[in-house]
Amino acid sequence: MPDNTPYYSTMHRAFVRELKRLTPPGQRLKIILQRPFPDPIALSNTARKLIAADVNLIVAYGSSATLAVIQERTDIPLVYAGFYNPEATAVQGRNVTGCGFKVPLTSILRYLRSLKQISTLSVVYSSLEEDSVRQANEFQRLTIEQHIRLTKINIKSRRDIEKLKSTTDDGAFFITGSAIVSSFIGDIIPMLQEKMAPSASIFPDQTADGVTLALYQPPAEQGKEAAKMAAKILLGTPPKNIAPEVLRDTELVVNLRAAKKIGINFPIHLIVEATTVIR
Amino acid sequence: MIVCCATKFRSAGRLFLLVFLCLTAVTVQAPRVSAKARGLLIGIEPEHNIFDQIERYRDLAGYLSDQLGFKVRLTIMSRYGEVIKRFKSRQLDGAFLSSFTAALGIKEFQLEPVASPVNLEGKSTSRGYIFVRRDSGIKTVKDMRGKSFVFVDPATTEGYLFPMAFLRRHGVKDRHSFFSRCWFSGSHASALFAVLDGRADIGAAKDTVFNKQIASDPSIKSELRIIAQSPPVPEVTLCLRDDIPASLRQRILSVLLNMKNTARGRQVLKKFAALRFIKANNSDFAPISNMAKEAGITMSDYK
Repeated sequence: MPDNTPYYSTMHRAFVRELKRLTPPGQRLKIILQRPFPDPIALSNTARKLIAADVNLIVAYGSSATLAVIQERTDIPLVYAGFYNPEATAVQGRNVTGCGFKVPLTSILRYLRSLKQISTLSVVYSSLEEDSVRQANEFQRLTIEQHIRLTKINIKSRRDIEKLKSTTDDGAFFITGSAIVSSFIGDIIPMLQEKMAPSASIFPDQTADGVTLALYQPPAEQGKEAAKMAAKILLGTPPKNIAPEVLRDTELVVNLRAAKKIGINFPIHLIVEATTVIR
Repeated sequence: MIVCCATKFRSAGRLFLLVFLCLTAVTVQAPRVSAKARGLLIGIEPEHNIFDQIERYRDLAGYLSDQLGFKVRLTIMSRYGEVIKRFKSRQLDGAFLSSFTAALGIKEFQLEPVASPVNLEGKSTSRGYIFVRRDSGIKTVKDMRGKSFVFVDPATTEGYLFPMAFLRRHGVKDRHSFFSRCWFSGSHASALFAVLDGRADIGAAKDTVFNKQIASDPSIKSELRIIAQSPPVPEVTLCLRDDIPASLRQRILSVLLNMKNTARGRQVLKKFAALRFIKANNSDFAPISNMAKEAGITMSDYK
């Protein structure tokens, strides 16, 4: 699992709970949890460590961890979870299956536009994470269609956060589902608030840090599905016989408290769509 | 739970909306005396954005009051079916009704259909759409098995009656066992957004709301696929109680039909987003009874 990303942590807790439930009585289950910093070298080292430990199954959360394991070309079965739109990339292999998710980014842009008139949208992403890059590119396509200027802010380390200062004050921010960005979210949000800019994310926990709204796929569902796949593999089903899944159901969090801080009143028609309202 | 005081509730904002609607309704009600002495109390079924809706209807009520010489007051229902309860308890003189509640009211309470507005596209009717996200891979009813379906309200033709008839026609006898989850969004626009966001796999809503949202955000069109559409049904009809004197009903109809002929009338129509009103008839509602029959729904069972 990359770092302490809360989205993946929730997924992992659900995974463990479900796997324990599905493990036949008397069968011993040992879980080794690794939380490296989500850069490719650290993730690759972790994958090698687990391969060396000759585990029966590797579970990877997010695209960067999944791709790091796949690159090692191991025969150990791999179950992934928390992988954004895996159908759009080459996440495949004889021993690979898993449960990804998709959130309609068009809806996020629509919601941001209903909060304020947007001439520039800034996308905060990390080039070290494949699915974060894809989300940034998807937003690029959408903003071209809707005649909105796009700025991409690439965060690879803490010092990259400074780039946020140079973004326009008259805009909005989309924070991609990135473990690296997530690890600096506590520093990023105050800078966006200073700019009085609304922000949106696909990780719901970031609303607690002050993100204005989040449209997300509930992570516990992915953890549970991944556990079902893992249980089948541990009981002898080859991964190639287990079809990968993409979960698309979403929930919407609107953060009225954070919006108030930046002088934005959520329109009532948006509030009625919310699954969770933070007051 | 995300923060300590977050409200975890399906459509949490509806709480606020309900409180608002209750207050609105309470403030406009009055004890029942003769219709002319106390004016007319007309109900309106809720739309997605009730603040816009209040604006649209306010001028119409004012215009009717001026032309008729007594007060016409409006009250917005908290949900589609509430209007039936209000007619049962004789708390309304009439209502602007969508096709399902109008058909039910005509049958159960002998309401008289008076007039329907013609929208800016020149139509007084709407159709029901069943739609999915294009990237969902759902193309037929067979593909819908195990997915989630968002309806609008049990008291809507486009948002419930039509999809139920369509599903029955394609062999779905029990929606609860066929779908993983079915729920009611409360408004046509909410059903649309639920599918757009991925909160539901399949949705039903009326075409006029669907097209309005596309007009305001053209990207929606490329995201959704329409699987089926219903025959046209009257979108909104002003229906009055049958104990309102026929002469008064005729006067109201006459005022509405003549709106297009006066400068002020045209101004009010413009704000109401209509070109004119046309006379409504009982026969306009025949397709709804047919749909109910096909859906296996007894309309009079509606509570």
